[in-house]
Amino acid sequence: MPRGRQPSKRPKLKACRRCGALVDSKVNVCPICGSTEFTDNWEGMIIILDSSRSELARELQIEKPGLYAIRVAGRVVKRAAQ
Amino acid sequence: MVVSGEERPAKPSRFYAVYVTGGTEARVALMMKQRTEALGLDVRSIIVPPELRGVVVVEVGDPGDLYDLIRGLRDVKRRRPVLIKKEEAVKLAAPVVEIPTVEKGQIVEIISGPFRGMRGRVVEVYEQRGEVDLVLLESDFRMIVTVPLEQVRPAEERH
Repeated sequence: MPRGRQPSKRPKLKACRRCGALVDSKVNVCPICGSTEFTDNWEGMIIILDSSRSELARELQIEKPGLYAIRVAGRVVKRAAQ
Repeated sequence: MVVSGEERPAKPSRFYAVYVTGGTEARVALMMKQRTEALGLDVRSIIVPPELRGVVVVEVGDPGDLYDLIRGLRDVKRRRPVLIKKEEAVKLAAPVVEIPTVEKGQIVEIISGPFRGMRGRVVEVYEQRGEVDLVLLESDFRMIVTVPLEQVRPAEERH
């Protein structure tokens, strides 16, 4: 197998500190909440594809489809585990 | 009668744990997203739990779409997906509340960044910004630095 063909196992994304949205590392403004504060220190991922029919999105009060981190370092979150 | 994807009556969601090669969870989840969008599958959400290695949880309306979602997908194991309860899936996806554990006046140690290894006293905590202002203890003069919360941890005071 040619060297250097193995794709990166973790995508190069950064998490919005305010809403947890995952965006490309080149993005400067969060498309979900408009925040400009990001961190590379995040864990876990939620992908919401159909926010209107997803029961998970309803439970977590996520209104917009997209990628979200489950844990973001130093973030005070509103949606807490029940 | 042909019912288009948009007009299909909403079926209740089902959550399935899909087994994948350890370490590839996020990449597989992104491939599932692409496939869902390309094929118009009734996949509503995908969870990559931070605690579980080798598992991706998929929320589907039509279980038949799950088969189309994972068929031939690289790094998905042949093991049959397992139906799990919604409560379990939500528990895996609910973020752990990470409230800053430092407060004003507390002595903290800086664990990364340019001031790594130094200690400081907290003079202000900015929870929304995720930062703290510290007075460095090792400095000869009163020097206040602002560092991200993730770079500090509480330290015991030296006597």
